[in-house]
Amino acid sequence: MKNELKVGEYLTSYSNKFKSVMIITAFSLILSLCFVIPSFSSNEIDVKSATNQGIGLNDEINVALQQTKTITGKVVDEDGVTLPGVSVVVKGTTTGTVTDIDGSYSLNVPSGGKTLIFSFIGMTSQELSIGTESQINVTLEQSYTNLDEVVAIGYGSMERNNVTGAISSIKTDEIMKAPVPNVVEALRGQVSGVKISRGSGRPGSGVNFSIRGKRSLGIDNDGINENEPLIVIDGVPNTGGNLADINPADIASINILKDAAAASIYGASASNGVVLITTKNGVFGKPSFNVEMSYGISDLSMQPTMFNAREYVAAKQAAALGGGMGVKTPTQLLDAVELKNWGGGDSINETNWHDKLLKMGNTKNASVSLSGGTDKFHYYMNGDAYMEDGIAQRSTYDRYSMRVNADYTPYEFLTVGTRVQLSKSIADETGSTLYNGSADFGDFVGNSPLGRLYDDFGRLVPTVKGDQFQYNPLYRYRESQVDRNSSRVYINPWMEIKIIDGLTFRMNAFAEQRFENYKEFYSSIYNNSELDADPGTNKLRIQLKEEMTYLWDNILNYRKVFNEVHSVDATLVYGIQTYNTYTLNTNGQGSSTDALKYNDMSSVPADKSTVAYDPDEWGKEYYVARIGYGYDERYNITATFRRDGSSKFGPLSKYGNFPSIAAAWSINNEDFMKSINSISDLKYRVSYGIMGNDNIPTYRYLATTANGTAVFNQTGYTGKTTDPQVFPNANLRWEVSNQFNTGVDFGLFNSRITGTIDYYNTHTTDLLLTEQIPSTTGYTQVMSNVGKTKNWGIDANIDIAILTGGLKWNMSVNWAKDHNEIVSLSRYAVDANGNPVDDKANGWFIGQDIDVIYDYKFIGIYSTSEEDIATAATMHPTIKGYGSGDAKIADISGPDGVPDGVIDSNDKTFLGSPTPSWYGGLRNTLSYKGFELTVLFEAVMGVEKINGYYGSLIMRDNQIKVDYWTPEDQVADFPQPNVKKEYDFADAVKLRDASFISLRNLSFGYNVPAKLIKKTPFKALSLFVRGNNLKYFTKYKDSYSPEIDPWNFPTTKTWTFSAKITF
Amino acid sequence: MKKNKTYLIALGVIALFSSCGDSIVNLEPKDKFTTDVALSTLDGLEGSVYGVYERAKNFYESEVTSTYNCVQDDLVKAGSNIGDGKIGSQQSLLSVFSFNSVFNGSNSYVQQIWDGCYIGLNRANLIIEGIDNLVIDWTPAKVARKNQVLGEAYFFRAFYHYTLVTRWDNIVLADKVANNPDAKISLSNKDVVLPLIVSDLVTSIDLLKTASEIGFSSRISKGTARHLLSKVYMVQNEWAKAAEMAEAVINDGYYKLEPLDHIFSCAYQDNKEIILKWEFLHGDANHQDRLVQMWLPLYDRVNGVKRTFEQGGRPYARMHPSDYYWTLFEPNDLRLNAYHKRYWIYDTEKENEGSIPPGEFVGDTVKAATLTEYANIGAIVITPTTKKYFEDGTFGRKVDDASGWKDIIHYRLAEAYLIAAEANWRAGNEAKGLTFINAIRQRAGVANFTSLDQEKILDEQARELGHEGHRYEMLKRLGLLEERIKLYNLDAGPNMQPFHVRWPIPRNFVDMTKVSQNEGYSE
Repeated sequence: MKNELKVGEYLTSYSNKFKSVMIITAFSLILSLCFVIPSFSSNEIDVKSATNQGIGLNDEINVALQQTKTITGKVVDEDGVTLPGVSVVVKGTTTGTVTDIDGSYSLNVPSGGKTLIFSFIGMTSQELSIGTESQINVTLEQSYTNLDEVVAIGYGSMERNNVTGAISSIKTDEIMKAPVPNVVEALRGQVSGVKISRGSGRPGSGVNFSIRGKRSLGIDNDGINENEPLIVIDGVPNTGGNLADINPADIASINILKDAAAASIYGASASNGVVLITTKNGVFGKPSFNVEMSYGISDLSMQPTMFNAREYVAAKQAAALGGGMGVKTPTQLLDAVELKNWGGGDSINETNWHDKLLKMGNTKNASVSLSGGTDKFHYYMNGDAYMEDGIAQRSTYDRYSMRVNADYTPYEFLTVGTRVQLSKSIADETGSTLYNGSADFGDFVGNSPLGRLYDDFGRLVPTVKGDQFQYNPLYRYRESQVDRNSSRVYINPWMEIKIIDGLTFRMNAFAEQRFENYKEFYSSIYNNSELDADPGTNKLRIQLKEEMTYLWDNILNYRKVFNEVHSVDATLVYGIQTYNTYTLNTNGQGSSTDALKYNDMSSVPADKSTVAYDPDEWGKEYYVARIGYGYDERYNITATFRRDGSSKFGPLSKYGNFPSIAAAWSINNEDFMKSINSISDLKYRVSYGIMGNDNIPTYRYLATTANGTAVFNQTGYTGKTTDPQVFPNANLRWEVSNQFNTGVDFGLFNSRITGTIDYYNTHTTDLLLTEQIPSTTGYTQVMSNVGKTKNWGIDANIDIAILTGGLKWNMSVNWAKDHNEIVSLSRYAVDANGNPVDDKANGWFIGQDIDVIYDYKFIGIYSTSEEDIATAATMHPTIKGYGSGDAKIADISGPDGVPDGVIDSNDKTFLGSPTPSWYGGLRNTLSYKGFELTVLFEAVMGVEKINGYYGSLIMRDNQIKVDYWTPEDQVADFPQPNVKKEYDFADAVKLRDASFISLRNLSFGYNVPAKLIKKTPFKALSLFVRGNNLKYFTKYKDSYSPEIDPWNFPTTKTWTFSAKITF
Repeated sequence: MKKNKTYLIALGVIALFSSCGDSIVNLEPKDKFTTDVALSTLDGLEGSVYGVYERAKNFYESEVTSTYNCVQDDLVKAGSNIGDGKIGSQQSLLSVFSFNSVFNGSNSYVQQIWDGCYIGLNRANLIIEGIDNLVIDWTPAKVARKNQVLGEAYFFRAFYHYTLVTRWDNIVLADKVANNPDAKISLSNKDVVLPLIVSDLVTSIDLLKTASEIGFSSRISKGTARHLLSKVYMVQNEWAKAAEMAEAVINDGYYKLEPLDHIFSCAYQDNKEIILKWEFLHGDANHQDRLVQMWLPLYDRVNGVKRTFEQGGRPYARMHPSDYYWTLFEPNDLRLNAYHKRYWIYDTEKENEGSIPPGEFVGDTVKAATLTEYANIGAIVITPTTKKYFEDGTFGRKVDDASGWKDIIHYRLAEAYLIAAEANWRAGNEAKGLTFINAIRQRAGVANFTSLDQEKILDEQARELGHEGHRYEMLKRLGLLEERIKLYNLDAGPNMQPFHVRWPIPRNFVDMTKVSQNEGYSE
């Protein structure tokens, strides 16, 4: 025992050492790179490797060095802002360069060179003929098409034109406009078919996120969200940890693989869709030094209205009356503390708990980045500090991250590179954690408006009134300390070898270590006042968790065009990925002093401490083959096959195969389309494939043992015994989704209007469910592949350049609908004829949405009329005294399927579901002379939810202000309050429409014109005001947002002011 | 040439890593055994018997199921906190108290007891079958170890079957390891189950040690098994055998009748009255006894009354003694004070004395008559109650804790005396029966009985063993459950139907196995 405690101590100090080591390392890296980098310099480069920024295109292009004529010039955009990184190529040759940070270029044009091509992502390419001048200046215009961009696909990249799958790409500009620390949150409302929400506003907390809705049913797989998409960062599937550890500024592109054609290359992990994130690399040019600083303020996004003191007392009186207690005076209903603050009703001393317990939050962000490159070397590095102080007391989240991405091409055929990230987060979670669980933010709602924070001597009191459950959060914050620190280090070295013309071998290696320490402390008076004669014992907990991921991918790619019309793109991959973790958890009670908080773990008496160690690991091995064939840029076909082996599955099902096939027809490249000028792009796509889902805990196929403890004579004896929840299943394997997708990409009027529309249909079988089995086996559950679901949907987006020229107006709309339903459930959920039947205990119904709400239908409240009293009594024979003021429930059915005049479980019915009938976003961007305004609205419609924030009207606690029934006011939303019991059919009464439209983001920016800052050391200066989550338009008022999960940390809106300076 | 070399290196790398796949996808858990490994040694089997014990104790660690032995008889009524609608689990608890419409197969309370018993049975069966598969050199020392483990496994197989058949009447016989979830399952009634229980207990008595050899009563001994066997014989109307077994317990030599105020005292937890108890490891936050405060009324809501251990600690108000229960005691019965807390006193600090009703002072007994104004919170704030489960701070419990570590006494010697009395009387030996029952009465300071009848035995059992978990079983054995609940149980009585004398089989079990639900239950 003693030894383990020392380990705890050691690791605590280890964490501090680690922190200082990391900071020192980061600084020395910055310094060394600042000095070393400028010594590389050259203008002549291999064009493709510079512009593709390490994405992985490796067509071999020879650098030409014939020197006949030197052309120089400058490239600017329509606003006159210089454009670095523009590729300048002599037409018909492979000779070229890119512009440097000032937009200047200098190029030696070989003899015979007649035309220069200037191209840049997001701009329309220009061809200019070379005359006699030695200087050619160019203005590039914004392009409205994305069909010639290069998109990341799994294990490689591809030109948009050749893509056969449904892939959405998001420009980093649009991500950066959302002032949020989590890159997934920044995608909110921006991508069709991707639904993102935040169920909690705790700084640093994650997001809920799905692509094309839900397919999986599992609900209790150890906190794993079965419907969560796979996130792949630079080719490496993310294995855990929080995406908040990644700095959005480091991201170069995000591509979302939505259908089987695109995603099935990720095999057993692909069925929820895949998000490919590519981080930035440097571009050719002089070092560009960027400093960005921002300051933000945050506040509640919405605030429910509570009963005020008078209303609270009135509701208590109503509840006493409803409970048959007759008419009561405030004196009879309030306790001593409340009575004092009530002051007889004339001098009320009221507490607004939202004001007392919440504050204005703030965020601070500072980042410094350096990037640049030569023809052989590119580098990007960024150091970033993000600090968030939440709206609740004692809730902060600070993240420090440091990234270095660099590559080097020592020989023509060899490029090596690495990506390194160090990040550290430090969070104070005291304000969101109570002993034995997460904080119940009900204190804002439930505490008596006549309660108090301080006693007469100005000391914080433990409870705000006599009721032991009405905690004073400020007291508890003072008497506890909860910290979560994590650090994450990864290195991702890669190497690319051009073997022969068109054939490339790429090796991607990855090693990550993530370390988290979580520490809790609750003082000896946490539960009692310091005045109490009987203080408790303090409680300490230290939990250390280490996660390690290794990945090794070997990718062989062959890409070649034969006879100018047959293009082949083939990829073979062999890879492995492993994940190891352990958690070491020490709990103690009664350390020698409160003053040292959790750090005093070593003084805990041996019999008051426990240590738990929980190691876990999984491994994956995979083989991938993909072949794409294209004919004449008109017809493309892609076939993909993946074989996945996973340690998570049973010995009889370790390996699975995941094939897909897809075809695309670029109709606009057909001759008969040439005459139709209004259609600039038109592509039809169709795909079918099989994908898997392996989002389950490890070793669920084994009957592993649990510890069983018996106590004899005050000694605990522990042995291995059966774990009733893990019946063995050697056949356990992944869920299987069969998906069909078809879609059209189009561009009209020279691509001023572009868009995509997709339809999909997915059948998911072998659902991974913990299935109930007869407990007479000694087990209650087994994890099995049972059940089927299907879903179909449409997602579409359209981008329109409404105005071009000086004043630009771009509009982007996305829209999606997804429908899911359950087809069958467990092997026992069948009727006598073998037809699937519902699983009411889990709330799963055949033919219904996975999350359907099945409950009674609330249709009003019984009045005091004799008729109503009589009806209520006959409708509810089993509830004593049901009558006036109680909920009126629709008589839907009896045992025979027809209404029987009695309300019982036969009357439950389907009342909608939280799955939206449609959702989407609308983004408008206006820009004029360096000013840019972007406004993003998001809509999520057709959502039904049971609003858990509504109270029980027992009126022991305060609650959200509602219109309740009284004999005097019989038209009401809620039944009569009753001190003795919550109103019946509570969920039915609390059902509300949670559809909303939100003003998700607003960004207003100004790029200060170059001439204004000519005399400053700055090369560019931009100023921004940005808002996130600004306003909800919804009927779902009595909540902190229509999206929050009740009693979580309230969600917030944020305003951020920032400046970006380039040196 | 250079390119060819590179090509070879690349292929070599692929070949190298192709061979490591097997060690990546075929992993074994590092921190867990599989069950078959765990049970493959004598040590493992000895360890696994703790898991058999654990299930029986586990019922008392739940806020809900800890009450399972105290409900549905004539001696209990629901406390004010039982209908607390904010807590979903309370709905199932309330229904068990009241036989309302939610007392059906979907009730989680019912399911937890059912599942818990079968998990325990499977663990016992794994030991019974596993022992035969051990291939070891059976030295005398190992045989002795084996006998104790096997004896415990047989005892618990009987114990869980008895718990099940007492409540459900029709149950699945679990006399061997059942490892096929799809196997056809059928129900057996007590005529089939009881003989197996008897034979398991007879086997276990031979194998187990005596209580004196063990030295404490939390581990199963011959005496424990004999006591349960005497109870089973009573159900079988085997009066002579029951009397023989009960007397064997009385004459065991280890057990003795203790002073009344020692039996349930935290200071005398090792007293020799106890035949079987479930121990809780003091301070173990993960395994706590939830019964410690279930019987307390909400006394601390009364202005001027503080929450202290003297007053009972934190009240949970789930159960109170029925009004009928109090009518059974003679005023001079020493058990009234020994087993109950009947009064609360004003004990607030001087400066708060103003909160006490006019005319009353610190140190005065709280009078129920002054408490009418507290009725408006819908709570029973002051009512006399049983204190057999109360725990003070002796074992580290804090006054605000909702659970503690006091031992739960499952069987004690007084019950053996009452069984011996009843069995002898029914077997025609009233005189012998009287000696046993009068031993109990003498300890309680009340006059001897001079004759016996069923009513006297029932009443004495209520006075001596009330709220200890033997009443439901006794009323059911005598066919009095429905009648008594209708007469004396104000919560369940109005809803009591004949079919309520047996519990509904869990709904999902019926759905999965298609066995027939106990008659009368629609769900």
